[in-house]
Amino acid sequence: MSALLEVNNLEVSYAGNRGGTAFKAVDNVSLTVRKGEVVGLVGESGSGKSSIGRAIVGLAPISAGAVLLNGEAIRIQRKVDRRSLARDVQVIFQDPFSSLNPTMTIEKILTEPLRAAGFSYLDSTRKVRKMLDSVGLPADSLDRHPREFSGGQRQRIAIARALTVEPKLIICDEPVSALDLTTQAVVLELMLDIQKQTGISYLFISHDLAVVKHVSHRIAVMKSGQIVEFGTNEEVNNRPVHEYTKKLLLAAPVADPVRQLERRNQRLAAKLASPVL
Amino acid sequence: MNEQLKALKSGAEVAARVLRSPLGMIAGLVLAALIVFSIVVPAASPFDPNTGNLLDFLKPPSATHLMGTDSTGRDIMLRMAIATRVTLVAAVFAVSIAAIVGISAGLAAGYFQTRLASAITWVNSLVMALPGLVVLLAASVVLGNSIWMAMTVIGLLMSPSLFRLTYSQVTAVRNELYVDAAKLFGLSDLRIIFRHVLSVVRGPLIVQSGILMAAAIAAQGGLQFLGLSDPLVPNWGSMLNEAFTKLFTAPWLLVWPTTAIASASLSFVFLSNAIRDQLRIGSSRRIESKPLAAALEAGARREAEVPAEGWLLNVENIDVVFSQPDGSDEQVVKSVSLQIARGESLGIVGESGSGKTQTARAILGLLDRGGRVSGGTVSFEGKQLELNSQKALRGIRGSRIGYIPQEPMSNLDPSFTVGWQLIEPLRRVGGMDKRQAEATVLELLQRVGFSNPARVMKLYPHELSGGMAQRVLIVGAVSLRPALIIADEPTTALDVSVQAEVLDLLREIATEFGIALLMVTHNLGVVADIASRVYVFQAGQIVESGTAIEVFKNPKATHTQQLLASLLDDLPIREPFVEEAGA
Repeated sequence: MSALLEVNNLEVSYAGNRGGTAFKAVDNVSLTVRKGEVVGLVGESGSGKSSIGRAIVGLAPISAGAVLLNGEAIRIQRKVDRRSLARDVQVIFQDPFSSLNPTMTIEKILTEPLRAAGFSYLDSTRKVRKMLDSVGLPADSLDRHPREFSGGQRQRIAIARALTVEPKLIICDEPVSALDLTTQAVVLELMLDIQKQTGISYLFISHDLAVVKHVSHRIAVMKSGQIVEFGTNEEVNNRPVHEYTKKLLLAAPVADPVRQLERRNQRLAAKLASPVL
Repeated sequence: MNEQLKALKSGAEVAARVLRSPLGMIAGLVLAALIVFSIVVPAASPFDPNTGNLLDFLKPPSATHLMGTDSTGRDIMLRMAIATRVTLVAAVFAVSIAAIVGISAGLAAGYFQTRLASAITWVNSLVMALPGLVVLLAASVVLGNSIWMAMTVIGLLMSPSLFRLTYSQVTAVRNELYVDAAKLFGLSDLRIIFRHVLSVVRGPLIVQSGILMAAAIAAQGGLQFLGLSDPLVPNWGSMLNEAFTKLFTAPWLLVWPTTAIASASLSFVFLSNAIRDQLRIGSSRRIESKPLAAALEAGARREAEVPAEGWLLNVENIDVVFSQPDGSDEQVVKSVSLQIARGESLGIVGESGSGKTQTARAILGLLDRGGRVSGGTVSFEGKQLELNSQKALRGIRGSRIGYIPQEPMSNLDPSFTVGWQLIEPLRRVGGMDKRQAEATVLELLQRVGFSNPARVMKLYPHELSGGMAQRVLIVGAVSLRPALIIADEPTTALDVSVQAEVLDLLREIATEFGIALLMVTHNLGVVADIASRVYVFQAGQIVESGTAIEVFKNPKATHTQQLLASLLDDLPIREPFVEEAGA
């Protein structure tokens, strides 16, 4: 079985301040994403999950290990290499307010990756018009600026931008975390629909297990830079092996006072049983 | 339409909008008049700027000499026109030099942030430290009276102000996600700088350039006034100088140069402001539709029974409005009523913009600028609160009503230790002496789970994690034993496992000390975890209220049903992956 994305023993370190010790954000992480598969990467802040996503596209320094795309190591040194990587891998960021340049029109924002990939202006606009429809944005959005859109609409724009070049893999870094509850559900369904229709792969990074379990085929649980558990969605959710996964599963409160009371008691009991965690 | 044409068109549109705004129009007209004056008059005038008719000296304005003549009988209008041309061209020249040097250095230093950047910053600080006038005087002695030389020096002296502005703006922009995104598309650094960085920082730069134009005009005038200029080229400064010496014999001499200097400087500043305003692209109106008011009626209201000792907090029909720049009021909270009994924990839940936070902040008198309570009453412990009086609320905030904010870090002062920040209110408001206050804080820190409270007291806020900081703030809110704590999204910034611990802690503390809790949150799970009664907010109104069990089990308002339906907790687990045949 050949994987679309293969991350082997990846290590990401950030240099310490003024000769201080380097901080290892990702420590010996290996994972694979197959063609058409969604792999969820779940963990709390500082667990290194975002650093993995950033390292894959060259935004974070890889200090050891390798990232292979279609069996070949990714290269980001030269502009040509970055461009060809951009055609295969795109990113959707968490914050739809900071990921779109406020001074550019939606048309410019959406055509930019296409123009960078060498498409003509006419081809780019044609593709972009079609894309607007498939992410559910009104056709007259093109001449508008990001501030005229709500958070959910902006995230649709970011999704459209990632999709225009028809990449094989999208790294989704907390794509719905900044959105309101009702918007969150709608955007998540949109992302799921697009994935099912196009057969694109997602590396879906989130702190929210509920989100991850709805979209992912397989789930990796991260803690302190390492993957502590990696299995199918069903395994991780229903038969978690690692203590940390169990704790995470019980931590998020559910919107049902009675069930939440049960879960709380379960959690407190578990805490008493293993005070270290 | 192709790309260039579109860009051209949008440029023309901005120009048209600038000229349509009142300030932009006036400034544009004045500058246009000055430019036309400086071109037309020299071409049409029958006089020579440097030869005068000595019989005609110091004549007031007349049909032959529309602005009169100076002390050697030269035509002032012609001399003014030439001076205007020279001044404007020279000012543009100086600002261009400042812009080329300052902005490019700022972009490079801000974007790349390498050792080169430190060097550039250092050089700039050095230039800033130079006394401008002394350098100018020295330069004019060494390099002669050429106006271009003087303008080059002025341009270089002004460049740090543009550099610093560009540098700070770029530093703020370079970490934006859209710059990351552009890098991912494989755009070159140069393109990213011009397309993504410069377009964002240009607003302040344009304003600063306008101010610099005015400064360059003033600097020229100053040098010329002192006589440091080419005597054969007419200029505003020397004309002003002459006017001063003839103040009593020919007062009109003063009118022309002062009018010119003032109107040109002001026009540049106003015009640049108008351009900046028009470049703030796009309207701020949102496309999304507001939720229908009709849906609001659907929720059935159910008041809890009034407890025997009366409500601890009784909010009746309060309205909160924010005044808009155009003078109108935007209502964000509409006739909201809610009650809390002693020791009760209450949840206020809603999406962003639903008015839940503004309601809580109104009770505390912590509304942002422009916000005020425009109607309704709030009574607390049986007494009515004066909601728009900071003085009256100060006596209650902290001592009787505690507050836990969303961002723990921004609510701790980075320059004081945790201990100091916790002890100070106990001494000032609680009237304890230092020993008592310290003992109380130590005990509470231990209570919220710090194993070494004495050490925590010596820490500075930046040494705390988010969860620790929130615990410290809980101690702060509890320490004066208030009757009510208002917590505004206290766990939103925290990880889920830390959130669970903080919620546990809040619940325990509230029960232990008999404190009522008003929890504002967007998270239905948090409400279900901690609140016994719930108010659901939408578009500034309460659409449903009731006990937590009722509201979650049997939601009546459409919006509540919608919220519960959007929950991701109970979504189905995704089916296992099936590899495509042939893949």
